[in-house]
Amino acid sequence: MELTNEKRKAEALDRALNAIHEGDPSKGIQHAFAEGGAPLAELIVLSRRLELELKPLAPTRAYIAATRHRLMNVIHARQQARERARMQVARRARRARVLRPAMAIASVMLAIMMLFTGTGVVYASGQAVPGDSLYSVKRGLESARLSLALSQSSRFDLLISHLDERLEELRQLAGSGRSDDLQTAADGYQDALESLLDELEVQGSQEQLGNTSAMLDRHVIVLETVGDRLPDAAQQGIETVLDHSKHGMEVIQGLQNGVKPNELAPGQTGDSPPGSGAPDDSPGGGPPEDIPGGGPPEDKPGGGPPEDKPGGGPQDGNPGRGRE
Amino acid sequence: MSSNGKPSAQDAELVSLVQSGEAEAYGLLYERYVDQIFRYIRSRVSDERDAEDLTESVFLKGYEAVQDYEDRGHPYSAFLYQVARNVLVDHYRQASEATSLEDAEPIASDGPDMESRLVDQEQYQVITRAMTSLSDDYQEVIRLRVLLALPTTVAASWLDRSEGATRVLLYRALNSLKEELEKARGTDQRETKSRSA
Repeated sequence: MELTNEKRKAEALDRALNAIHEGDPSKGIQHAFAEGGAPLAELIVLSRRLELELKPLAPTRAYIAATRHRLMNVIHARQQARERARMQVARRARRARVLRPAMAIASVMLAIMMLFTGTGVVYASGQAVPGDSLYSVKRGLESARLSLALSQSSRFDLLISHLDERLEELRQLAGSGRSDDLQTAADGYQDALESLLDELEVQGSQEQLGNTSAMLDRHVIVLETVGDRLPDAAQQGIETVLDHSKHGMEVIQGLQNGVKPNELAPGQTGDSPPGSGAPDDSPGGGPPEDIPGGGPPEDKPGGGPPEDKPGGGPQDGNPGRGRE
Repeated sequence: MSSNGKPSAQDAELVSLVQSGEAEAYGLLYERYVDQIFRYIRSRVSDERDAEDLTESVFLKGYEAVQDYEDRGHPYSAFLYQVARNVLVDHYRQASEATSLEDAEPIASDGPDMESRLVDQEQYQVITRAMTSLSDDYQEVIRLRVLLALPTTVAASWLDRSEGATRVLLYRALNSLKEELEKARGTDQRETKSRSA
């Protein structure tokens, strides 16, 4: 019975409080007095006093806007990171799907080549340079070996050796004066470099990045020496290769600093975030207001409410293509 | 959220959108609940800047946990309230700060309340001491239902109780607070008498 009575009083208190919250305190007190007499009215008066003494302030509009801005920037950045990771996994899976049948075909091809041409031909093809009849055999064998690589590190080692091999071919052709075949060798070098950078982008370790960077350093020196020996007409091909080597070093530097190659415009190193620094015409330069991580001035404590740019923030950077 | 605090279809829709990658939907949930969450935290920490940082932290943690969120019939604010309580526990642990109200400076409110408030520091101390002498349940229901002026349905969902149980809890909490204040007044009168004697 007492509990029922307590429940009834609690409900009356609840109704009276609602009247206060609806902006009519006197009605609330009257309501309580009518339903529960003086004891209940006293509780309503006490509630009113608590409200007046301890009611917490609401957040300011500037705080609400600034916090929303920061929150959305963080959320967008996390979404992008998740998306990058998802794409990386998908790319690896796709590569594995493509490579599995390719490996089978390559194994058969290798066996057939060994059967019909003999090991001598295979060995001799190793010395071939662009323009030689056995050069296609040499490249075919390289592709087959690459397809058969079982681990990332063995794949990386092969790609490194292919790039070294392309450089050696360039050097030999330049030394023997075979300028006509230099362009084929230069194209081969660029292809090998692209494949190596792709591999590093997907899953290159810091050690592999360091080794590649050191190797490209050495290549630049060799290419400059080779270029000096060539007649002017043949130098252009070497200069293109030289440019690619240097850009490859920048891409690796960017990867070492955590910048993805597609955020790196040609000629841009990973030292500064894309879009930062002086605006330029390069893809990825972006207007100053796109500076990632910089945040709008409104974000500073005490600043006014930031503009709520839809999709604003770091994700708005306009990344250029590092390697087209 | 619907004003009656029932499981809000809109809340569920927004959460579902966030879970499918629509970040802007979380912005809408933030706008909907930032006031309630901020004021709840502000009622428990004395420093305004701390309240701001903790509120931001609640919404970030809320986002991180949103993929695991399951609609169990409560408004989304009830979930944020639980996150806020955890964030406050961490905050107190880190700062070794005593729970709020006793230490809180007199809290001013804006608008007409500012004028109507009697800034009587002594009275304030008496009332905060009486509040902190109550059990956690009693303090919490007074915060939600009186200081934040949340509807009973919302307060009930935050406290994970039925509406009836929440009403009775509030009734008991206010009665208990009234007794504490009468005790304090009695002690005060005795001290005044003994000083005058």
